[in-house]
Amino acid sequence: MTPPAVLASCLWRLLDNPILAKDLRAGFRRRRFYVAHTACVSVVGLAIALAAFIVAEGARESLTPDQVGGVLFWTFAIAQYFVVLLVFPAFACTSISEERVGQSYDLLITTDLRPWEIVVGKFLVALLHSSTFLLATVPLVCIAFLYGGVSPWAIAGAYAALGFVSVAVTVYGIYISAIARSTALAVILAYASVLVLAVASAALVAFCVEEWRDVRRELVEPILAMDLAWKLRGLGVAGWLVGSLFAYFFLLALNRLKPAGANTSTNVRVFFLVFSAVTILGGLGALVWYWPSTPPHGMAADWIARVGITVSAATLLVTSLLCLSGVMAFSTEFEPTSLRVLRARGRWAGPLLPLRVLYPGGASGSVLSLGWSLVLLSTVAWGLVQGLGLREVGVFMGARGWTAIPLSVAAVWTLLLLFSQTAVFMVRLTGSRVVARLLVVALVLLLFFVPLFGFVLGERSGGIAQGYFLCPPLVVADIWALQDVFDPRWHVGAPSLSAMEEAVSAEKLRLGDAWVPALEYRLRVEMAATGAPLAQAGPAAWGVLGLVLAAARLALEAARRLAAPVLAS
Amino acid sequence: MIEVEGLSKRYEGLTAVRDLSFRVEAGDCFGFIGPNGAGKTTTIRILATLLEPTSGQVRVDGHDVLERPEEVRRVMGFMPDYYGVYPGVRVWEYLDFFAASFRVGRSRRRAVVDDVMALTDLAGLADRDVATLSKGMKQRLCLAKTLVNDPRVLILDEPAAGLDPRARIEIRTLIKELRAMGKTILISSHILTELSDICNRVGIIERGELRATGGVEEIRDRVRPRRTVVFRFVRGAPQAEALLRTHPQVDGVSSAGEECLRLTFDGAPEDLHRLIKVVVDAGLPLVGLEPEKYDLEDIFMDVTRGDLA
Ligand SMILES: Nc1ncnc2c1ncn2[C@@H]1O[C@H](COP(=O)(O)OP(=O)(O)OP(=O)(O)O)[C@@H](O)[C@H]1O
Ligand SMILES: [Mg+2]
Repeated sequence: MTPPAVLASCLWRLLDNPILAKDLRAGFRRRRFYVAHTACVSVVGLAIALAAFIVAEGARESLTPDQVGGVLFWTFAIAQYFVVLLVFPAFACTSISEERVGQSYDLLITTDLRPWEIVVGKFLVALLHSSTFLLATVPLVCIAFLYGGVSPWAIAGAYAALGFVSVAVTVYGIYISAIARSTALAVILAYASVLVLAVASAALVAFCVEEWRDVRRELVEPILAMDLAWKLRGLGVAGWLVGSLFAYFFLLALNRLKPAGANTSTNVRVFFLVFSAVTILGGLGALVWYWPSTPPHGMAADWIARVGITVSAATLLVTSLLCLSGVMAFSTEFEPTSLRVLRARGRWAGPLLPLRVLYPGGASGSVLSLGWSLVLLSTVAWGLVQGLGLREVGVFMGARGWTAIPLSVAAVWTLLLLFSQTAVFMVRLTGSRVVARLLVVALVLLLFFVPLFGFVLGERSGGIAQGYFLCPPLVVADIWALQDVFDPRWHVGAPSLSAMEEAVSAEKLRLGDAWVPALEYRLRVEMAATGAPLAQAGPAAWGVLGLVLAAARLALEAARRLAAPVLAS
Repeated sequence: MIEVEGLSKRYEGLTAVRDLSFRVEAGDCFGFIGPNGAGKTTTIRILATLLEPTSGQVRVDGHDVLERPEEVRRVMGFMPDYYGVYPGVRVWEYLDFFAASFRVGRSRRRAVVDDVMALTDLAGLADRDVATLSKGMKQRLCLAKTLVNDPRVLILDEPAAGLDPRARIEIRTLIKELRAMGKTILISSHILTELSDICNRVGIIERGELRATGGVEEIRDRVRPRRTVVFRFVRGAPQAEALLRTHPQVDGVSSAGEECLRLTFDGAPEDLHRLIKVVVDAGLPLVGLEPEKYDLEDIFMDVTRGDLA
């Protein structure tokens, strides 16, 4: 067969997955789906109406309509980011455990379907299923387009970022659903992990935004200034790391579905061998290859090293945290299967014992990697403090806005981490489903309201752009797509509008000729004339329309249910 | 077709199956009988590649369940004792899903699904949501599902549990049909009367150990070499009793109701003929002769009491 034919047949086999048809049918017919869908659209509608109002209010004096459009678009994109965080784990983390709980797992697993087909099928179903929620809120996002100022690149960037987060959350959810024995545990674990990751990355981005100009000068601008070849190289390395993380969870899920008897976890071991070899050898090779030459575009060598170590340490931290949460919830699940098989057959497992420490997802291995990543991170953090002079900022000075303080975010993160771990342990201890449900509700509320609260407070005290760091991937997309939205006025971090005025004047002084007074004047006049009323009425109306539509749907559903017995009799 | 050698399964602190060995030949219908908790489901789940044995060898159609589980799954149709269906899926969609999962081609699938629905009498229910089916319909649906890949071996764990008498007879008829189609069947049950007319061989398991295997007749002869017959007279039962008691081949005579006698004697049919002749020659009005009902249920009671051990 020719390569295209092979590719086509592989693709066909992927899409001709029986699980796809069965689960999509069953899922879309369920009442749960309609209720969740309606609720989601209502909540997002409400949030968007609220956000639009706040933005318009704040924009009255300082923004042109196209700037309002840009800011609204990113605000709505953040709302969609929350849809992804809230909805995607729900479908993914129950997809395989549901089969177990519903006792259909044995029938499924004894068919001729290979474990990889089951995992891929479940993955595609969860992704498609959840994407309908995202799709349903797209019309609400389109409000932003009424104002203009949203470039195609911004749209592409935002949806690439959302797509990435969706796939990541779904892959991780599928892994959880493959190892979980009970739905409650799967749900708690998935939301707790997503919460921790979201808060952690928000904290990281908040940290960067707080010191945005420094980071930008030192780090972002050299990257932006790189030529295409270097950008592609960077993208390749990032793709390799992220792709490996996805593959790792995919393989772990697959490993759980394999017939237990002769399973020696070969694919996971081969994966780790290949991954370590390529990463270590590749890293060494790059070091040797590039060491004598000057770093690209004036980026200092120690900076490259710092960034490299930080990225790898952070990846390790994330991975080990995820694994450790898995170990804590399912302690009996993680002994290396090969060890177990050998022992069951009465053979000596000596040569495989080191595997216990290095085993992906194993308890001792997780603790080891967690400790190591912490050591790495604290070393690097010290380096960063030295390098950037961060002693001057944020944490160490007066507070400005709630979420803008990395220390507060770190505290919240630690609290939530403690909360989620305690939750898992308590459920294991009590085995109570009521406790589990309460905890899930509490977690979901926290997941939604903590950032929302911070978002609103951030807006009150520092300007809307501070809200970006609630959605870290969007910030990354933003660097590439919407650089002009980063007007210097957003970054002065002024506590009030009048203070912002002062700060703007200060910026004017600092920038001198770069600031065009005529332009500023024109903006003000335009805003006063058209921007504010439009900015308030338009989005608010759309948000209300969304709510009305949702309410109408609920009413229709209720009427249909009320009418059903009457019609039937 | 199914070979089990020295199979043991230990759960923590409990040996559910101990050193089990038996064979099921191609075309056999093997009844796997035992009281609750005997280890039937454990054995069957090992056969179905869902559970690892602690020790021993199990082969289905020549494939080891540990080494080649995929091959075993391909030739086997498995029906567990408890299972769930997918709410929101229709009957034909459910069967279509399993047909597709067993790689029945798209073009053939329609015909295969129609065939198994006709065989299991589900054709009228094709568009019903599987979650709304009754227990009996669900059992038939699951049986239909096990047939979509045209398996050579059927492994059925208590297919008639929880069914009413009519549904039970329907399932039984269905299994007989399947056997006539040449399938090898292993079926477990503790409702024994059910198995006596569909199985040609049985294995009796108790507390994880196999107490007896063989044909129904064979086990019967081993367990009870003697026969019991009830003679019914118009009158004169007491005289007959006196007459028969002295007969050398008769082991015991007792009254079995008004003008009825229960006789226990050495098993051969000629002996029965001789006894009848004695009674008739004495001019006693014999009007009825009923061999005492003795089936798997009694064998089961005898065997599991430990009589054979
Ligand atoms: N997962 C398990 N863990 C521990 N013990 C188990 C497990 N599954 C079964 N057992 C024990 O193994 C023994 C055999 O159980 P099994 O289910 O095989 O019996 P069975 O013959 O199918 O009974 P029934 O007629 O009630 O279905 C029982 O004592 C049971 O308690
Ligand atoms: Mg059983």
